[in-house]
Amino acid sequence: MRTIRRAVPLRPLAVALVAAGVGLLAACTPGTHDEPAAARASSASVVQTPAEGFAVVARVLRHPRCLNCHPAGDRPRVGDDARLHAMEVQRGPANHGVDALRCDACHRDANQPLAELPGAPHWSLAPRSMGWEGLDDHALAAALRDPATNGGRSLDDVLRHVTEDPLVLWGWDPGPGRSPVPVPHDAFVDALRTWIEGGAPSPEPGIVTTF
Amino acid sequence: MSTTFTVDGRTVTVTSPPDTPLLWVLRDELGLTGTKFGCGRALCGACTLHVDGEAVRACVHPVGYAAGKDVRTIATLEESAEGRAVVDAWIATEVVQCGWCQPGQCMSAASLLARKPTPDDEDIDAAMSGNLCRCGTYTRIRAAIHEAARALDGEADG
Amino acid sequence: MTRADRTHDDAPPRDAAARRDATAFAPSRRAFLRGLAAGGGFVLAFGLGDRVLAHALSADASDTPFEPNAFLRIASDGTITLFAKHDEMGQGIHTGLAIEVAEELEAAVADIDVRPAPADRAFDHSLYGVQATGGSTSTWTSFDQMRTVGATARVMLVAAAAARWGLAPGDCVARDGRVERRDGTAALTYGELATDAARLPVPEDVPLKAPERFRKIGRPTPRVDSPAKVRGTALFSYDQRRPGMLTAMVERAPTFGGSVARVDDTAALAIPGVRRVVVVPSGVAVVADGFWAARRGRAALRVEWADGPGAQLDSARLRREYTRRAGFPGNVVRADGDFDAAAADADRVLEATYEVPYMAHAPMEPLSCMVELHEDGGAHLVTGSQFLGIDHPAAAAALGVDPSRVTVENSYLGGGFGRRANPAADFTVEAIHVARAVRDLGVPVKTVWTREDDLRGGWYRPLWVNGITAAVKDGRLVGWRHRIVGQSIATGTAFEGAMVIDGVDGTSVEGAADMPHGIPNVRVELHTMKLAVPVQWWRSVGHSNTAFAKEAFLDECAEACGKDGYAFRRELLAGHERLLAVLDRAAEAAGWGGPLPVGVGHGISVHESFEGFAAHVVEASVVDGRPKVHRVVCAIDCGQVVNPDQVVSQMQGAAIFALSAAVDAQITFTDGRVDQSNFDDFPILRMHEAPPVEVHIVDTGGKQGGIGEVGVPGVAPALCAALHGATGRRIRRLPIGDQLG
Repeated sequence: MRTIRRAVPLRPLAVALVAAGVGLLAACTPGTHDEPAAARASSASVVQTPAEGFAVVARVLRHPRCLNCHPAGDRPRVGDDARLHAMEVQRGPANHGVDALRCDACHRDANQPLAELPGAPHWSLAPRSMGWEGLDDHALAAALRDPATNGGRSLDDVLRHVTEDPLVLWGWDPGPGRSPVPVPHDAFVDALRTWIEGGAPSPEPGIVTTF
Repeated sequence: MSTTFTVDGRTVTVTSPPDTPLLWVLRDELGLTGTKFGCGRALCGACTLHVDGEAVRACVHPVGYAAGKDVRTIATLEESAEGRAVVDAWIATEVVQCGWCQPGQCMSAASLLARKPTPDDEDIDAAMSGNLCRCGTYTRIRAAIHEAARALDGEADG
Repeated sequence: MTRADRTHDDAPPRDAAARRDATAFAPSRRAFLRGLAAGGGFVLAFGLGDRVLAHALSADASDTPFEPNAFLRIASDGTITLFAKHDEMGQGIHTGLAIEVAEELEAAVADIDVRPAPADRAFDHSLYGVQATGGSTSTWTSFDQMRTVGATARVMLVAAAAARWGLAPGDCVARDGRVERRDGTAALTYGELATDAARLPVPEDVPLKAPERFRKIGRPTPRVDSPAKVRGTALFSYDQRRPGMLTAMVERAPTFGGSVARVDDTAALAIPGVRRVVVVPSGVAVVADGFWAARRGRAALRVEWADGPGAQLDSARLRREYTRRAGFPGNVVRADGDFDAAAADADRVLEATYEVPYMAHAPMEPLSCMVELHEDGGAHLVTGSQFLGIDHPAAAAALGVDPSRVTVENSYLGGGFGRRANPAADFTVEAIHVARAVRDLGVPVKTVWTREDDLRGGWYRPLWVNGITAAVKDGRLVGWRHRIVGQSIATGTAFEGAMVIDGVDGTSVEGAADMPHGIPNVRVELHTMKLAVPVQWWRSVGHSNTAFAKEAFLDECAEACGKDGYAFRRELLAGHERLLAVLDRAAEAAGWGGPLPVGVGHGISVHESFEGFAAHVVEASVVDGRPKVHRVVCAIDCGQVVNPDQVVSQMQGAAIFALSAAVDAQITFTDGRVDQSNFDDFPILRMHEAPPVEVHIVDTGGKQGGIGEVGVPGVAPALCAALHGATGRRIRRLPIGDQLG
């Protein structure tokens, strides 16, 4: 089994999430966050190979800021510990909650710091086809490449999406009470570009790269 | 800076800063206290009202978002068929205990019924789990929603 | 005696003497004051002295309303107003009081406008001697009094009609808000008779209906407050507004007993709408145009705090210390037989430690209190309180004036659960301090609490640890020792003298010291802890702990004796008719002993509290490591029921309230700070978690007792027994949380 930075063997979902959570706690406690992030930034910004690029991408996509709303099932997760969203919140028919309890009943297009309530434009769950929860790096790479599982996008579209989409960008500005993605956004985009330009290869099966 | 919108059919222009939650504009600036405060973080649903027909939590709904919109509170809920059925069913089923959460519960229930006229228990769970009741009236809320659905069904048939 | 009266007096009142003793209500001629109040209001007051009621409404003298007592007012337009001595916080007491009055007044409950009584000794609790709502006592302590209120008024209205028609009162009959001639030739409404009735002498010793004649009491009656509450027009304390009113929010010390060391209010004062930042005894108050400005202003405060004695609080350490104490003898509260000898002689000795956490009341409406200061040093308060009798003198003391200069108006209470019956009048006195600090602004100030303030503001149900030991011999329970470790609620309050006897706070041991089970050797001991955490009664008070420990451990004992939990309790409670009646009813209704779905367990409990008797059967399983409650069946015997549907409603709500406390909710401390803040980390049951709750009312003909709290204590132990049945694992600490994961 290969290990890229901190990788764990594919295990049940909970294990991977716990690992992600532990890594985050180490990396993102207030006040200590900048340094490791900067360190990662330098490592991320010097990715040379598509594989190195994808390792950065995989870590970011598995960060709770991203993965919480890309669940495999119909329940979003919340918080750095990726617990199930309270209130029995459901995906609903259009990934936007259910009648009388839609996502935008609470989440609007900006964070609300005093309420510690996150918000960004078109706040919603990723479609079920884009559920990343439980995927290993191999499957995740395949999911990103395949228009059937990436929201009907070309790889260029994927790159543009993560570069510009305000809901994606929110992951780097999540408001109080939540850790931002600890890789600078431009480093993430560079890593994704490196992977795409290198042919978007799949890592071997059985690897789950996390923070 | 001011914001203009309609509340319960009346056009209002308010001067609260646009990031002020709609809840406090209604309660403090407009004196409409039917919409209740329970948590301030969209965790309890006591402040639920309708903006352009959608149930939202007024405690985290900046009034700026309401500009040009149609805001409906419990005060005019009964102007809709669902709202009337909900209020009637709530009273007939004797749902109320302390009552603080009930306007919000009714707003959520009416929103559910407007889109799903005959909800089953799972629909009720999914729609209503954002509304807390400390007195524990859930059993009766569920019964009242079913009752309101039956009444609406009867009206439709009639 | 007139014929009209006789119609209500054909049978002797049941238990009348006993109830009169219990309620200490003995109206006398002297106590009935009648007179034409200023403006023409006719006032007949019970025990009012010669004071003018705060709520006496002015009226045209030619249009005199009939106010036969402090509670009731009948206007000439027919409006009937009842000033409710007990506060409506969800328990349906406004309706209950109206039913009691209406039964004797012969008027429709729906025609009575029930309003919260203001602070006045006329509205003192019949048992506590202070204006208060709590202890699940409102219905039974007001039962004779409110019926007498209605009956007295009716007799006077009948007399007024009789005089108008030149008949004997016996030739007239009161019915449905009117007095009719028995010959059917004429009728007058109560409104038409009000002015005449106001001039009549007040009759004494008016007889009350025998229960067999009740037409309203005991039948389901719609709540009088439902329509206004559903439509959002009912006024709660938080809803109160006055012209020019400002809103204040207090930043309190993050640790109990802490104090303000330094305040930088620069940023707070820069928030538009923030008028003042003032230091008050409880912290730093931001006074602003409205809630949002106050909230933003408070967030912008920079306060340095001096730690108080609470700064060292740590839940893990507290739990260890409490548990250690439970291993040592405490203050002996009860000693039947010889527990030690029984244990030495036993076949088997069982021991366990049961524990419940600090618990917040978390009423859905957060606390608030509005204060309007008068130029003479007095004030008018508008609040939402269970304790006007404590708040009123406390407010006057805080203002340094005689209570006669202070008036207090109550509102609907958006939940109480004990929090609004604060022995120190905390939120009332704080609101006075805030208002005084900005007196020069000359406007009313409403001090409001946020949810975070509520959960972090103290006055919790105490943390309690119980060490229980049982001795089993020949398959029977022969010894029981229950050691309770926890803070005293009453110590240091005005209630200490009455409630703390020989160092034992009765609320700490209630439900344990008085357990009626047939166990020959019983020892109950108490360790009273002194801590900086303010503690308070929380719906069912000590029973919320003792019933959990007692009933859950009894389930362990039943297992050790090889018996079913229901049969085991039946044996131990032989001769206790009311407990057995509810136990049997709950077991029967739940189909106890019948098959259960795979993975589902059931548990049973029975407990007396507040003179009410309740049994619970809970069916539960574990899903994804979490308790799932499928069904709750309960039975209650509270004696003569006034409004059965509201008894059902209270029991349903109590079960959900108790489940919230059993499953997830708790208050804990780390480094002196409360760990919880809002409903995300203080989770209470939501719709999808709420089981159906089936309620059966049992009437064994016994004395009237409590309802509101009676449904709480038995739920957690029955749930834990059910989970044991489902998983084989014992839960001995609440909340259950992830213990089954």
